[in-house]
Amino acid sequence: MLKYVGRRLLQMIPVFLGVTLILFALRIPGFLPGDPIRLITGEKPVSDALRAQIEEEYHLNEPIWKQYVYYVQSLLHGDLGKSFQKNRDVTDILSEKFPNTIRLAFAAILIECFFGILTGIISAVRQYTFWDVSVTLSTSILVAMPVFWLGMLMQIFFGIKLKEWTGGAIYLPISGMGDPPDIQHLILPAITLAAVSTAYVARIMRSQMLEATGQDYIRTAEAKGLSERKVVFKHALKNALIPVVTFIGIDLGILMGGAILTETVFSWPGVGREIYLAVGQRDWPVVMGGVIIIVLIVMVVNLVVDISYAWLDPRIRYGGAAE
Amino acid sequence: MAALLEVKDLKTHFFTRDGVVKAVDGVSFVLEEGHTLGIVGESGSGKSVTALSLMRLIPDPPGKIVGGEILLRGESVLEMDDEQVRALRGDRIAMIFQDPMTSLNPVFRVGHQIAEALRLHKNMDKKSADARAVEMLELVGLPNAADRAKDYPHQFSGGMRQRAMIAMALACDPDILIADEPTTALDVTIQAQILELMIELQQRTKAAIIMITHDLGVVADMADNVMVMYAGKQVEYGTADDVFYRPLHPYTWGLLDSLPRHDIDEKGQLCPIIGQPPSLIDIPPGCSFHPRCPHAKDVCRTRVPELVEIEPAHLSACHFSSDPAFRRAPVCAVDTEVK
Amino acid sequence: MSADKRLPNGPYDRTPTEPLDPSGHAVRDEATQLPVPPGAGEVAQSANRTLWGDAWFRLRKNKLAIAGLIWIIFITTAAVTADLWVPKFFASPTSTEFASLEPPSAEHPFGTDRVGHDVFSRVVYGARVSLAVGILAVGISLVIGLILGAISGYYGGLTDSFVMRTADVFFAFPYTLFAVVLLAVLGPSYRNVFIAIGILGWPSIARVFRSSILSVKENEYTDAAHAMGASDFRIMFRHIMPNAVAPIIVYGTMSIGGAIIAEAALSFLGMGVQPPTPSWGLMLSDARSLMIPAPWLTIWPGFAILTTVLAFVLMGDGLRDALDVKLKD
Repeated sequence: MLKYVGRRLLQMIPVFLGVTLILFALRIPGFLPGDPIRLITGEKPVSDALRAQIEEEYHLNEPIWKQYVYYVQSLLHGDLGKSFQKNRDVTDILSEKFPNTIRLAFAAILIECFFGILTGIISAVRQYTFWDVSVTLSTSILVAMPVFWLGMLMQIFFGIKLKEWTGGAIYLPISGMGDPPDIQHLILPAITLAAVSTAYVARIMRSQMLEATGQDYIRTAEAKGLSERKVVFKHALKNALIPVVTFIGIDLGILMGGAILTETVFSWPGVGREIYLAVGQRDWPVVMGGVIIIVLIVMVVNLVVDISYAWLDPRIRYGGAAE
Repeated sequence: MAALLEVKDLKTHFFTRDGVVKAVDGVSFVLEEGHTLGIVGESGSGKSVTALSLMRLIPDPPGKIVGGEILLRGESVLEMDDEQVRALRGDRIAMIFQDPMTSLNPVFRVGHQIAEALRLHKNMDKKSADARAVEMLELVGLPNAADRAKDYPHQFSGGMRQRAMIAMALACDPDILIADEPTTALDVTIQAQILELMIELQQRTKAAIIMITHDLGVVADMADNVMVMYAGKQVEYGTADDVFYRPLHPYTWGLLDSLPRHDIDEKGQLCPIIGQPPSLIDIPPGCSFHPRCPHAKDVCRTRVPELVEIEPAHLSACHFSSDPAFRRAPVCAVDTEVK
Repeated sequence: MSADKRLPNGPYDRTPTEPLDPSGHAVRDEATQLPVPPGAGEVAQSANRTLWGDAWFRLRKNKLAIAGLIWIIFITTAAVTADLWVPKFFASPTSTEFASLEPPSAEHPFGTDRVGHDVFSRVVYGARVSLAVGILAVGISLVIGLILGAISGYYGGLTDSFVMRTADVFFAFPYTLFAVVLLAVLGPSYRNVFIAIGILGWPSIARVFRSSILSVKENEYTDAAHAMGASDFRIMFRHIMPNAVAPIIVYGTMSIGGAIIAEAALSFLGMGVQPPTPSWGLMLSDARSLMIPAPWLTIWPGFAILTTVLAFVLMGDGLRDALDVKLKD
């Protein structure tokens, strides 16, 4: 098992390097629109001295591969550079916005786990009943729904129309985090972000449960005289849950990517929105820095998920047969 | 005194989109304490469904026990309510299945799965149940039973797993053990070991065994009585001696002939029965075996033969069994001399 | 809960209609007389004796999938022939002669937007963009993915490692984020959206194809076929291809749905199609600031996205069920 972990860690390295390579490549002058010096200084006139200083600082005169090395070096030191637009370190900006995204993602995962797993189980155990069919239909619809549209609909319905109909009494806030941050502001964005994932979790849970209940060991459990509840929630569920847990872990990565849309729609001050605004302002260090951090987190989470899968499934955790 | 198990005219049908599958259509037998009944037949003959019906493990829908009686020590199993049936399963009747690899839950330890039955039926606490589980594993011949109990099923070999299944089945000391093709999925050498184990355990625990198999060799060693099934019906029923040495039904002849025997055939030819077992939705009229029986006459195509006692305690379902001149002749596709 | 009524889908749900052939579907390849794996040729299941015939038969029975197919055909036809009927009965998508922000009416079924465009006609023309991007981008992904997947799967070894590691690098990026950055670099435009979505799609397809190839390659019967003297070519076509093609068809169909949503999302963020080209995502972006006065601007373009993607998803589901030979009725 330790060998497995070691191997996975080793695999991560080339992938990470690949990621840095791609991001760096995008930075190469010529790739990016605009004069790199101009990007940094903006519209202000640039003296030769300033130009020389910037070239020095950003190693713009060195060969490309050396620039790459500098880049990776600074990454390893935790230096993500300085924002072009604001006079702050990228790390600074990001560490301010990150907790907000984490809060949102966390809430979404909770919703996804609870509702997804529950509906999936019920759907499988009551296959072909009204409940199952409606769950299958609604999950199909959710999978096809654009996240940002869902967000906007939520805003219209819960934020605006509800307010109209109840004369201003009941409504949910549709923008920002609240000051100080509160649960009310979290509800709509979290549900929006979680919606599609919940649909996937329900589907996967359902199909895993159906597969598990079709196995021979279920027949054995019934032949022992166990009640349906025990058979489903003990014997079938434990087998079915393993891939679902894996999916939820991987989903964290998807959530972090999808956050950019939800955060934009709800004006949620998180990393996603920050990156989006930075793209608009051509503030590349912020963009690169944000992406690298997110990628790193996703990779670490995926690694943890892989390991926990190996740990949860006894067939992998304790290898091979004895005699 | 009532026999341990009495089955009268059991009928289990499956109602599918394509028609009604008469998986078991009128099966009757009696099982005494400590005795062994062998149920023999090809795939699809209804042997497994019979066994599952005894424990009311038939999926409904699409299946349903539509007729007959099952009396366990005089008590009607078919009339029991759900709680009583669950109490019966694993405790008074236990079952082991064909493929031990898939029949054990891969995410629970072996000892735990055995202890589960004990805690359910015998109300044992965790500690005693675990201890007893280890005892059971010792009983079935697993060395280092205490360590083995903490292992997961995938860590066992095929033979070990089947022993574990037997341990699990016998844990609550059931009256009847049903074994559905217990050795089919195992290596030949292991097969013999498992069968020996079962015989030994039967002598110890005095459990009755219903052994379901398509392999007559398996049954020859163990069974007191043998029931031959074809297309959902019994075609022959008698003591092991009777069925093996004085078989009455052509299908039984065919089964016996199809056993490769090195002492009989100098030519070394195999002797299989012609044709395939019928689809249970579309059973041939009259005697269901008639399309494959070289002795079939007109009456076989039109009238269903009844299961009739030809000799004392030896029944056969063939129109001609009662005719003393109608005796064993080859039923197979190849010309062979029967000595 | 009745003790009899066991869980659905239990192992004995397979009612004993046929004597269970131990090898499952035992069908033989005429040339080598070896059992051909289920789905690779004939399936002795229903009247239709070929995989494709059988699949079509089963697909037809799936009402949802057929509904999806009909919708796709309908909307494609409507979009392709738009020039013929939209300006005549409704309005040109770029004409601004109407009053702005009119709610839906007989004249403007979906209302008008801020500039005075007729929303309905923009929605119809927007279908062109979405469908074009969906199909073409997936096409690009398929070409790249199939080639790389095939090379990777068939040759194995270092080539395989290299391709798969590269795929891993792509997988490490969250999709939308990567697309946004890519488009920021390439420059937001209609054409670049194809490229971006196409590029981001190849790893999944390569993986799916590769695993099909691997599973078939490792199967014993290809060894047996080899032993019988069957050539590589024959093996590839007769045995590997049929099994590998089915998942690709399913995945490709679902991917088109995904590509449509991706285009909408990117256009919504301003990184995709640029005005004045009508795109559903772009229309939603415009609608944001007008949610209170003009909710219809939000509802209709989004609804269009939903129904179109749903149609592809249902079709994909249906295809998957129809082509999955392991499923018995």
